[in-house]
Amino acid sequence: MSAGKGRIALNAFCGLVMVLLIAPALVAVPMSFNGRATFEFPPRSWSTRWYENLLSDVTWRDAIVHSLTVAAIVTVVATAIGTAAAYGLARGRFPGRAAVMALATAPMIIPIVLVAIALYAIFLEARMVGTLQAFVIAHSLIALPFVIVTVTAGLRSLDDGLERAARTLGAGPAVAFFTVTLPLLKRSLAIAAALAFAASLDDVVVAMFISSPTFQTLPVKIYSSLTDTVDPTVAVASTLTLSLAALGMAVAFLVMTKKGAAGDAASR
Amino acid sequence: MSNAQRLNRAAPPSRSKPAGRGLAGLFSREFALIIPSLILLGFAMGYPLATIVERSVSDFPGGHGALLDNYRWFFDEELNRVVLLRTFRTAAIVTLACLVIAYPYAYAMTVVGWRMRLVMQAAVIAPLLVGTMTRNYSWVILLQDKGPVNDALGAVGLGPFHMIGSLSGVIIGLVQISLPFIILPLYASLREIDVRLMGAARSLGATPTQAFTRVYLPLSLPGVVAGSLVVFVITLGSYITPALLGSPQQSLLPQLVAQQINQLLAWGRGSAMGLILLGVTLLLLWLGSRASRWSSVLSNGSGGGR
Repeated sequence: MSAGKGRIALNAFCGLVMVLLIAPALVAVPMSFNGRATFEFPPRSWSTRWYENLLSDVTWRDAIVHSLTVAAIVTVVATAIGTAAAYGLARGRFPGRAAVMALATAPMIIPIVLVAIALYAIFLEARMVGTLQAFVIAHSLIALPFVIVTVTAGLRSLDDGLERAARTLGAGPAVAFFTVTLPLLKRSLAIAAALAFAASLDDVVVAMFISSPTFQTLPVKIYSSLTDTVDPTVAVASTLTLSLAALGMAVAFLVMTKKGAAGDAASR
Repeated sequence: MSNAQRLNRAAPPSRSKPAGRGLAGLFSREFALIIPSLILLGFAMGYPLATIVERSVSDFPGGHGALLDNYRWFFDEELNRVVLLRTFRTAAIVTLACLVIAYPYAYAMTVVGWRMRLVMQAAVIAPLLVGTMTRNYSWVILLQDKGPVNDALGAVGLGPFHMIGSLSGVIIGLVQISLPFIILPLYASLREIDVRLMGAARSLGATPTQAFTRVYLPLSLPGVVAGSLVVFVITLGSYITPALLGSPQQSLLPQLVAQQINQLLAWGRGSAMGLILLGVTLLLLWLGSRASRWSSVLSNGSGGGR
């Protein structure tokens, strides 16, 4: 049967694509246990000294601390102002709403190099290159569209009759928002915050321009380490990022299956 | 829902200030909520971009020049034209390769059981969580002259190929890194296609190939256009992968922009280049939105349903 053969070919092809998607990232794991400072793969000898190096080398440690600090602040800032904007755009009436929405998603569309040199230009003038404030401003801009798009989608799927019912029953707009709408938006807000965190943590290009030798984030440190040396500490940093991603996926999976089970129980 | 909206429109005064008198009447109270975001967008995007535009028409390597000299320089200089063309060609190759890989995969996602679909979905999303630097690092290792890819090719009697530090390495890396961005929109679009239409076409005498090319393919065009556009635009603006996997002799436009600013301190020229890159991107997105409208008209016409 040719249809059966076609199905087998399709399955084999998809298997290969899955390997192509997943396997390359795993290269970092064996590399991180390399015994010597080479790019040789697979490594010929093994050690854990690069893990010790990551923790003891002050430049690596600083880079990690800077990355996490920036990402944490950006998550709070971008989620707060992005959620407010999404709510205002969804419920408010004023001229130019479509234009504001387009403006808010523009940081996603503008080539990142242009965003980077533009921010570099103003931070140079303001003598803010290599400061925490510069990173927070830049990364909040990058994270904002993710929050607005996610929360807007969440609000759209929400029944706004519930909020109106609360208002009819005497709740003020703020009370109605914080006691009715916000709890219903919990899931969207969690996703929005996670995306904002990831957007900040993952940025390389803008960070490269606005960092200084004394204030670097982890991706910048990885980039410079990759171009200048063959230091396997890069692989350790990658392996840790990988573990974090795997952990995040496992949590998301657990939440989803638990939610699915709860949904089943509720419908029964 | 539409009832609620109608209700909403019928009774605005209860929710906000009376409309219609003066400019302030146009803005309901919720406008205040978007002000913080507008300030951020203005300060971190509007003002910096305005600075860049200003520099592109006022900052010249010789100290002075005519308004559009930096733009004229870009198109006059042979090297720039070569790089621009190379950037387009690379983006086109990457997009085509992604499409060829993504289409059967996204199709398979629509026909497998839910458990398998979850696994296939996870395989697409996982690389996105891994992070840009981790993925690029992996390709630096894999594509080395004596790396695992060349080892594997050598085992079947091919190569060794010089991939790292060449455009082929950049293309391989970009294809793998961009794949999720085309699979996800493509799957979202293929999922909406009513597969019974294929059966109907077959029962009316179409061969499987005809049923695919005349029914399924046109219906999938909006997803194809959307996904391809995303990959093309991403590739056009990519900086890290070409910088790590490519060579300075074969750089792409974003690298040239960074070089003008960082190494040559030619803010005017770098700004003009960056804005040209933005112009090309916006033009493509505009064409893409027109094409997707056109292709959805086409698929509605032949699909008849929905």
